[in-house]
Amino acid sequence: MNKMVKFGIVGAGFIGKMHAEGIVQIKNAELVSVYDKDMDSANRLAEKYSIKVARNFEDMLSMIDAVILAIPTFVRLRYIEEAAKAGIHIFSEKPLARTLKDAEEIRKIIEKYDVKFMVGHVVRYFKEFQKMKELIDKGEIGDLCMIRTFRGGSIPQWSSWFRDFESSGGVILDLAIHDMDFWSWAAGPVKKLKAHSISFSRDMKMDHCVVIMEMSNGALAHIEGSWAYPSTHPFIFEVEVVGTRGVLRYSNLGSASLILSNKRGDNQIYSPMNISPYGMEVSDFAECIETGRYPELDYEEGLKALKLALLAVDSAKNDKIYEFGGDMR
Amino acid sequence: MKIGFISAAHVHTSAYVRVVKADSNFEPIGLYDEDVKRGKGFSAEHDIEFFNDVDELLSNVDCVVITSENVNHKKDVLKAAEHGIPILCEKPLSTNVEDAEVMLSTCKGEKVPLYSAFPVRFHPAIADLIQRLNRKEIGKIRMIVTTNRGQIPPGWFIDPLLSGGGSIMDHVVHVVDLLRYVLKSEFGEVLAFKGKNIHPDIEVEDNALLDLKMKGIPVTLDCSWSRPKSWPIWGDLTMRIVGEEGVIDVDLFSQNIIDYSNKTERIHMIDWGEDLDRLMLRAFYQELIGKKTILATGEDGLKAIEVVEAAYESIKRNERVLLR
Repeated sequence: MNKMVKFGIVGAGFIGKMHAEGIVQIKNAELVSVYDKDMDSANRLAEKYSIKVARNFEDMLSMIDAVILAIPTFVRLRYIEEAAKAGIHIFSEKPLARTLKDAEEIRKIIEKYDVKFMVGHVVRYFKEFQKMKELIDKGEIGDLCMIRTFRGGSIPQWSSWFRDFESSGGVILDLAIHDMDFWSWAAGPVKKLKAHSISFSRDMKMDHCVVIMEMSNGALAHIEGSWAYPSTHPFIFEVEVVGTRGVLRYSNLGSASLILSNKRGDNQIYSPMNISPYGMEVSDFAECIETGRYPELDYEEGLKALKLALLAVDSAKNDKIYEFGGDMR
Repeated sequence: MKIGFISAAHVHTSAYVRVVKADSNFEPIGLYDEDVKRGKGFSAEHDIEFFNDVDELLSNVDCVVITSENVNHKKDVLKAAEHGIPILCEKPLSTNVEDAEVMLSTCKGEKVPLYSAFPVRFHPAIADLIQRLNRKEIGKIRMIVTTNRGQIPPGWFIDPLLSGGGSIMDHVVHVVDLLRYVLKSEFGEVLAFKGKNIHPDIEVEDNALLDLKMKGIPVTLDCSWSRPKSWPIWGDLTMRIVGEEGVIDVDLFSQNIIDYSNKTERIHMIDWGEDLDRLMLRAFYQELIGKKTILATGEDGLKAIEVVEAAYESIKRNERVLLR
């Protein structure tokens, strides 16, 4: 049996559960511990996967090689520092940080302690997105002209911090950042950017954003993120890419292999995979730890996505148009 | 009502002629086209009389539909105004604001009613949308995301000397007019992004995004000719209206039967919805007999072309353009 990288998850909420489900599907990592300040959540997750609940973060650090930080953006810094000090590799959820100042703190920490660091821009591990990029790179649709994406549904109900703009950065930093990261990586750099979003308050009821990006290669991107639908609405993501020789389209609803609607009000769209994108990204990180390779989605990549998303927030808030010399990925 | 047609240039001409022939309120008199070959061919195909002389046609009709190339709308409208007969002019009303203003003032001077052909106003989903917004079903409107995308049109549409421009000229006015009509308000700001051409070999733009503002509400519009040749329908017109308490997604050309044809070995979309051209021409008739309808006027046509002109201006100056 291969040596497995021992992982702990901090945060047993929505995204923590996705990571737990992912890790058990992969061969080079093993989930050994979970920590959450809400002990009930931690106990439920631990029971499901027969793993240990850590009494505190320090306790967890003694059991693991790497940690997954599946906790709100604004509380991650302390955990990053403690993990790095203990020589534990860090997989951080996206976005890298809420502010560039926090991002700079993270840089200092990971440089000082020389641990591997990866940011979970999970969309890059979605097979449908990888397939689209593969087709584009092969020239299937010629030169890129227009990229149009939608990602959204209702404002997250499972945790209140998303609804505080100061903590979460709203729908741009939570949702649009996925597509901004993917398409600025796959089709960038970005030359010009203008964004709109609705809510900048401490108690958002809804939000919706559009980020228009003009790429250096002349392609346009219209990135839409939504927290404007009611909770009965499923979570939808769609992409259309127009090239000089054809058009690629994807929609999670249109290509779902399983749709659940029940009397409880669940309304979910699935395309289950043998290894989920969350499993794929952690497997990639585990491989980096084993082989010494550096993760592609490292600090710098996370920082590029964050910078772009923060500019979009600022563009929306202050109604500003940003133009770059071609260095904004 | 005796009705005439000027020019078979526009792809909509045949639809309008078909509707008029089926409507007992109208008596189709004939078609004039300065391109005699095109006009004769069209007239033969649609069994309608061809007129070599525009004055002769116009002195024999009560009203006229103008479906010439965009740049010829002005000349043809002024000619019809000279004859004092009511005009329904294909969109865009003109290719620039100055021309539209001349057309409007001339028609006003001659007391000739001038209407702009915006058939999507007559879609039942638009009437329903207006009622839902009036009932505040989605609360205060905060953002609007729209598309009016199509396949690349044929012939003169891609000749800037006849069309006056590409997809911005062709596809901005419908959504602009709809939102003005639905929200009873004017656009205040236009920022346009022109992307790399989807059809690199044509002389006009075919790939653009507009970032507009109406009453401070951001409105984005994709007006590109981005539907590929293999697309099963000509194009779309969609509007996502985001309110504080919900969202309305409008898709005006979704009422189709999907036809997986072995005959053509292609997929076709067969529209089963209302015939919007029929509803628009019926409104034209009602206006002519003195009834008030929602038919767009020459003034509405001018307002739409103001946004088009501002979009080109925005691309040229690389900045946001404010409208009066």
